[in-house]
Amino acid sequence: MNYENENFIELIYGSIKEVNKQLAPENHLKLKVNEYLVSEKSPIDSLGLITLLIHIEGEISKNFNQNINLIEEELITEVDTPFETIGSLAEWLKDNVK
Amino acid sequence: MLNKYHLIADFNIEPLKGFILNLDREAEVSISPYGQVMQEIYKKEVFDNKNVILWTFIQSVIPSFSEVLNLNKYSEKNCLQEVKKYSEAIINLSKKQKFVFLVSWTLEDSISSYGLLDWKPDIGVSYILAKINIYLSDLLSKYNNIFILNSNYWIQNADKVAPKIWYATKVPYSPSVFDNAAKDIYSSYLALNGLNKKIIILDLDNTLWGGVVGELGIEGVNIGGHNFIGEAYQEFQRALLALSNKGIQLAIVSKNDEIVALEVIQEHDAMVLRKNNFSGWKINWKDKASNIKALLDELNLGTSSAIFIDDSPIERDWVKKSLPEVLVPDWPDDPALYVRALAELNCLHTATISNEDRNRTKMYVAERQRKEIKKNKVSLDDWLISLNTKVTIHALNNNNIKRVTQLFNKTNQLNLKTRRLSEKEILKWLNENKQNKKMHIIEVEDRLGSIGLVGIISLELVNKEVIIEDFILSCRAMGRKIEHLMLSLAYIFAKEKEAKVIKAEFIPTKRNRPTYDIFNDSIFKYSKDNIFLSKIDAQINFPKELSIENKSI
Repeated sequence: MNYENENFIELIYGSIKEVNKQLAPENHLKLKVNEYLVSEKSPIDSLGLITLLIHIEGEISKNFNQNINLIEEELITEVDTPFETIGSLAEWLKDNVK
Repeated sequence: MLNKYHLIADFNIEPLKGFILNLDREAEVSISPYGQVMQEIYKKEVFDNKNVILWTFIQSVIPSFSEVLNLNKYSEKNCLQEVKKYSEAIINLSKKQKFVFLVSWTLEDSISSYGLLDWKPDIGVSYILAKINIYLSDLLSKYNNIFILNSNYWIQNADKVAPKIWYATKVPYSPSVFDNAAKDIYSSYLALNGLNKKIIILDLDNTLWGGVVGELGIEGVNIGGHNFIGEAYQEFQRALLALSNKGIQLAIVSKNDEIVALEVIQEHDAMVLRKNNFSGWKINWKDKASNIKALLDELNLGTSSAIFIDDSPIERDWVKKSLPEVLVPDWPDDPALYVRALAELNCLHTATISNEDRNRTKMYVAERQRKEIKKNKVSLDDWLISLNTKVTIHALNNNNIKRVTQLFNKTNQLNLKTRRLSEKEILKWLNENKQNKKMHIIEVEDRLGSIGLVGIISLELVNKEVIIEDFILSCRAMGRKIEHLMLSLAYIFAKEKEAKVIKAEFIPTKRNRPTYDIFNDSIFKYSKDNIFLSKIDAQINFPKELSIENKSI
């Protein structure tokens, strides 16, 4: 299956809708490409981020039959983390999910 | 505000906070630091009269249970001693809090068991866990602000948590468990605040039975019998009957011929619900929203206390639009799913169950008969006299405090200040400055049956003025001069205390306008700022239509 960037964005949005249910309303992530996932600009804390990434891992496994590990410390904490925004995470998934 | 919660857990309970806040946008939720259960329980006055929710693994607070989990030989005596000690800590905590909700203990999936021996005394894991849960429940049963919530209901209908979530975040349950928990907690909040639903209004064709009776006749409708659809309708009726037994009223609004529909209800062998199980009905060809409104008016219930169940999406949509306060759940097409849909409504909790609750439908059937008599009587006074109404006035006592607390927390329309008080708070109010206070509890019966404990008037003498602190009357006793009797009791107290004036401050809510009308139509004079005043210069007699026995002296 050849997934485009938009398809990964939709997949991430699906996970965000699920994860928002367990976040206080002021911490809800917005469904927009430039929404921050990491850094002080993000409405979610580290628990919210990890929960979201594990949910996305589950969706990748379900849709692509591929196990990936998104909660590696280096990926999350590096200065130019690919998970900074929804858009950058979708880019990273496009490059790494086969 | 009652919906302030404080969560204490020995795991990461953040998701529950999120689910509660998404369900109830007005709630305030705080969380104790992770893994500080006993320290938090023993802390003094830190939770600011909140509802404390305590959700722990059993081994965190009952250390001997670790031996059970390790499949070592365990001492039941030690386990139960620790449960007793834990219960004492909970009781102590409850003295400082509005309510304490404990979550019942369950076994985690990963826990080994003895298999065949799991329910054997002195060895089985499930055996000792059940015993501990029951023992804790017994120890706490007499405390009216402590409730145990059943986590089995939350877990058995939910997905399993991804193991990675537990290891990475210390969240031990899936989102669906927290979703179920939040709904249960919110429903408890509604029940304790008198906001839970009181009546389920049902359609008939394809809702209580299969098929359209007008086309098929009594023999043609599908209920019971030897097919799964008929059984599903019958099971749904049993579930409704169980709700009726705990005080939720049932009623019918259906587009049908009344005679034909009632024939099915009374004559069909497989019907579980009969006429006497319904507080009222409107079976005609008028639109359902108007019928629902008229039925609720007859029963003295507000639209916000009702649920409407109908298989037709068009009828549901009409009622939703016309009466937005009525809860109209989306209803499954498949009757096999009706029982589950009913169980998932999550707004039918009751904080206590009194005899009045259990007999509520019977009382409404009697009320229907009273209205029939009223139609045939010339005047209101004649009608009241014909009912042979007997009123007993009680003081607050151990036998009636549960029902009194319920009236404080459930009564909306005839409620002067809508003070929502726990049993503890009622006693505290009455016992402070006791010699200048009086609380009368009103019980009513007539020749058609008992109406139960229906009214409360609490009075306090302050600087030569008698203040009516509470004036609470159940709707079903409205319009029978009980309200006049209650005001007379205020006069008697004022005369005893040589007061000059009686004062009642009306605190308006969305639903208590009838209370304003009662005071406005009485000899009280509206002063200003919702204050009603009356001087003590008239001779006030008890209404002559009532026979009165005063047991409160």
